[in-house]
Amino acid sequence: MKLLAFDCERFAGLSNKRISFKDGLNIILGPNEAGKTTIVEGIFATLFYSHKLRKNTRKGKDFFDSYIPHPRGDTIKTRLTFVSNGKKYDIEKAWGARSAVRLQEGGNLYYNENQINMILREVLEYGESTYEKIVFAKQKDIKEVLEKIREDEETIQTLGELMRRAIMELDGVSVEKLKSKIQDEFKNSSGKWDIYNNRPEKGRGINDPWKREVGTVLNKYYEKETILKEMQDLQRLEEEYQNSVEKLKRVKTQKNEIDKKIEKYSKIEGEIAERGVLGSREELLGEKIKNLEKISREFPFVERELEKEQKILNELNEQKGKLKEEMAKAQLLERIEDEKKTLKRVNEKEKDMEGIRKEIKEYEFFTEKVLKKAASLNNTIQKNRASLSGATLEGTLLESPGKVYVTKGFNGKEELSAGSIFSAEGYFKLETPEGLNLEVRAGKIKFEELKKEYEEAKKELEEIFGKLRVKTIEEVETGSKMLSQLITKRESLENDIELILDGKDLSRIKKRIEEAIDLKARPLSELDGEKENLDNTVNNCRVKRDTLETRLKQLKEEYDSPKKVIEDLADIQVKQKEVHKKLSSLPELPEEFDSPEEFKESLSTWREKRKRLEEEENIIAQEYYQIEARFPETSYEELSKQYRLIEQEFEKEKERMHRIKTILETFDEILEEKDRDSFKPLQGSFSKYLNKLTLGNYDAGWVDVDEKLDIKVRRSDGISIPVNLFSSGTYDCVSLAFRLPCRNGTSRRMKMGSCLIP
Amino acid sequence: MSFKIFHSADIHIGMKFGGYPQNVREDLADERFKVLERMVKMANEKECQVFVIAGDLFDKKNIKRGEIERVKRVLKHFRGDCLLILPGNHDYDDGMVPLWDEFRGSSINKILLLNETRPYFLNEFGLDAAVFPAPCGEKHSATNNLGWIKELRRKPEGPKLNLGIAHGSLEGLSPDLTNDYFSMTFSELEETGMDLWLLGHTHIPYPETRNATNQKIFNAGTPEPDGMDCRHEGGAWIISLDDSGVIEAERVNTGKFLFRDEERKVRGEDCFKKIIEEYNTTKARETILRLKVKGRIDRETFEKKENYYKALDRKHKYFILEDSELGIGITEEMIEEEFSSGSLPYLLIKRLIREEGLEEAQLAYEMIKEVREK
Repeated sequence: MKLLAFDCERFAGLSNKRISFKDGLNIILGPNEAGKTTIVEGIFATLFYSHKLRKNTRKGKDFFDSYIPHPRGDTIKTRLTFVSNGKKYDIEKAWGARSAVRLQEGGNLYYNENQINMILREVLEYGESTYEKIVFAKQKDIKEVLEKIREDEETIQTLGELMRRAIMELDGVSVEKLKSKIQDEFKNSSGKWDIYNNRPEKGRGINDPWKREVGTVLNKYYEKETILKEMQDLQRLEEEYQNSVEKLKRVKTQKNEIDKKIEKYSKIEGEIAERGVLGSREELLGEKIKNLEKISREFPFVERELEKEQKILNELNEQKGKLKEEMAKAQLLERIEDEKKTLKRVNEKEKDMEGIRKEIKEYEFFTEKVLKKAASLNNTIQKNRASLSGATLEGTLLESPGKVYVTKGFNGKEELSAGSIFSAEGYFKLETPEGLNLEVRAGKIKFEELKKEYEEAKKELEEIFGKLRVKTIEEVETGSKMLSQLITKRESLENDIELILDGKDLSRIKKRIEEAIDLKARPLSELDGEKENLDNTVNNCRVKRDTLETRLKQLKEEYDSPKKVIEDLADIQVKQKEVHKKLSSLPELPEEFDSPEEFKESLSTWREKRKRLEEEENIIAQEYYQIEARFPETSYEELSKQYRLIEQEFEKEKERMHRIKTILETFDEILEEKDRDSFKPLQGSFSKYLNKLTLGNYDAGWVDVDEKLDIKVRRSDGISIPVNLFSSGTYDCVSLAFRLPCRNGTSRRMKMGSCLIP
Repeated sequence: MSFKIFHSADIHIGMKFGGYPQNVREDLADERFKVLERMVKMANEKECQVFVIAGDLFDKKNIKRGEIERVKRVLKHFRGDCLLILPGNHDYDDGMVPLWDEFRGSSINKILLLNETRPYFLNEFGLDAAVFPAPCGEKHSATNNLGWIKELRRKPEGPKLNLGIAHGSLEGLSPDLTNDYFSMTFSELEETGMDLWLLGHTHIPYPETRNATNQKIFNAGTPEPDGMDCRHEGGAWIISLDDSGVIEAERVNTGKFLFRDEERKVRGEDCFKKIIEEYNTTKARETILRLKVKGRIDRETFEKKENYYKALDRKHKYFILEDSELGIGITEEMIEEEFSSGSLPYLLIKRLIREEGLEEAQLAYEMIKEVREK
């Protein structure tokens, strides 16, 4: 930065002053109170004081108190012109009532103070504080410089950096520019390249390439990989192509083989077809001949056989008639035999019947009616007796002078011995020969009636018994039962006979038996067997005859007559010879075929196969031409050459990138080291100035930075003195000696002499 | 019957030279056609009956139609009896490549495409010779295609000349580390009993002499260099066989461009001057020079180096410079002299010299120079 001019319209005691600066050292000379300091302060204010500075701040109050034009005036106005990095800047400021700011930078005008301050900050590089303490120091402040620097951490840091730069940027090489150059080179080289993994960042290859900030290494890598991909694609294409060619070749070979066959056999196709037709015809004629030969033998044979069979059949039918008659006889005989058996059985039953009848005769009075009558009479007797037994009378013959007879109930008289005890039912009568006749009756019964009824019943019953020649009712009952049983038996036999006769008339049976006495025949079973055999024979014979008849009919219909057959046979034999002759003139069927049909079929199959192969060939050929059209202009070999070259270039780019990286690391390493030792460069200059300013009393100074700036000096006699022990004069000299190299450090960048105002 | 054969191979029509600037690229690509023109002219002048291209006439199979037409137009000018073209590994014929459709039954009836493994009799061209080719049917192959020739029980009797033409690496002449390039050996070629073997593939010629007598195996070498790995001049063989069967061969220069990939160490300005002198050749205008300059020089010379580079660039067709290993001979003394003690450049460069290396110091020095205020 180089100041060109300072205009001061109104600033403290100065008005309408213009100070122009020249290259090199500018000295402003003037008597006391001429305004030299005011100019320096005016420049400082123009650069750093806001035009909106308020009077109610300490800084504002000091500023306005010191620089408002007196006695009349309410505005301070300055203008500073300077150049930096080849650009011209013109800044105007007014404070107070009509405060304003304006910066002209080349052709651009700025009125916004924030914007202006940003531009100025960029141009000035350091802050207000550094400029105030280092650049704009005034003589009266010299003593304070050291203290101010030591107390202000920011200034110490800036100063350290300035010192480092002051030395490092000797030879006109800016740290920033060089660093930025190396970084740019590194970025240009390694952009988006993952050095550690030796691949593109995030592995983004050519399928997903980085588009921005791509360095030369990655660019070359992409270039290389693109060619490699082209090569691989081409290789795959070659493989596809080869496959397609192989397929095509295979199909072509098959087609050629089939073509050869088709060509070979097509030549004789027509003749072989004719051979097929004639062959079939010959075969057919052969068959016909064979057939007619057979028919010529068969026809008369059938005729003869039919005649023979018919004769046999007639004879058999005659036999069959006779047999039928005999069988009728035999059947009749069998029936007579059955009737004889029936008759015998009937006779047996009749005999039994006779016995039964005799027995029935014996019991013929034991009828149900008689039995009932007898039973009724018996009941009456029993009833009356029971009535008597209900009025039993008992007595004891205590003593009897003679015989005493007693009649008890319906019983007869019986002698009663003395002392006997007797009982009588309802009545007794004692009689003695002396004439005693005593009847005793039970009062409850009518003995007379009973006795009468009893007597009558007994009489009637005894009559019955007499007729039946039985004595008891039980015998009557038995006889009745016997009669009933015999009648049942008789009925049973009658039924049996009826069953045996089965509705037939016995007399007729007997008549028939008599009539058949002379009838004779073999047994029916024998005749049945004979009949079955004869039937079979007749049937067989009939079938045979029918068959022969049918066959003869067919033969006649088909061949008319044996004579006609012989004539036809002769005709066909002639035809067959003709066909055979034609066949002999045709080419033989090739050995590989069994028949002209197989020949024809094979040819047709080949033709179909050829058609299919042709279609297949067309499809593959299309595929082939599509693949072929995809071949790039550059051959694989040419691409390989390009690839090898680019691969070499890629390796070189990587080598260069690693070198730049090494440079960058070394550069950072140096900077770091220098940061740790910022004030070292100051040491020499400080000592040099100290020696001059103290006229050789002090020859060396040290600057250490820990938390605070610590300065020590060494007297020429070798004794080191810390800053707090300096005398006032020495303090001035040390301050000045320290400030001068500091100024040098800053001035290199600012190109602006520091202001030392005596 | 005597024969005169022009033997070439590896013309690589269709190369694109992608790594070069546009103008250079176009010129190099165009020169592939021009060299073919020159060779045809040369063969005509020398009255060669047969023009052999032993593989890689084209650089790839997908050649533009216009380029094929241009080649055909050039070949039409051949006045000899026949042109024998063998598919190489770059322009292989797999039976599918449309490239060769143009040459199969070519409208130039002198062209005989040797794409099958069978003898080709040249009687139809009025030549008493039979050709036994080993064409490439694919790009890579571990085995060569000499098999069918080896299996022949005897050579066809009658032709005066039995000519073998093959494409592939030749053991001892070019390395085929991956064994991908139809590798052949001298002995197996000799054992086939051919009168003459004309090969292609390796870009350097065989034999390496300018003339050869009764040599039976020849490798054409590229007629026009095509890259930095091809540092020799482009050429072809003119081979004559007289009636008695004596073979005489002459190497002819056919190429225009030269590729020089070189390295020079410089110590001072004199070295630069020598380089300028050295490269001030008549061929410089047709030379693609990649020069690696390395060494340590003084600052003054270092600052002048661009002038020398410009001179080289002006003289050459194309100049590629690599001087990352060239730097000012920085020493601690020089630094102490140039920079104030304790200053940043002083500290930085000195430390780099001591701890890192001269390359780093050199680079830092250049950066410092750029930011230093004049």
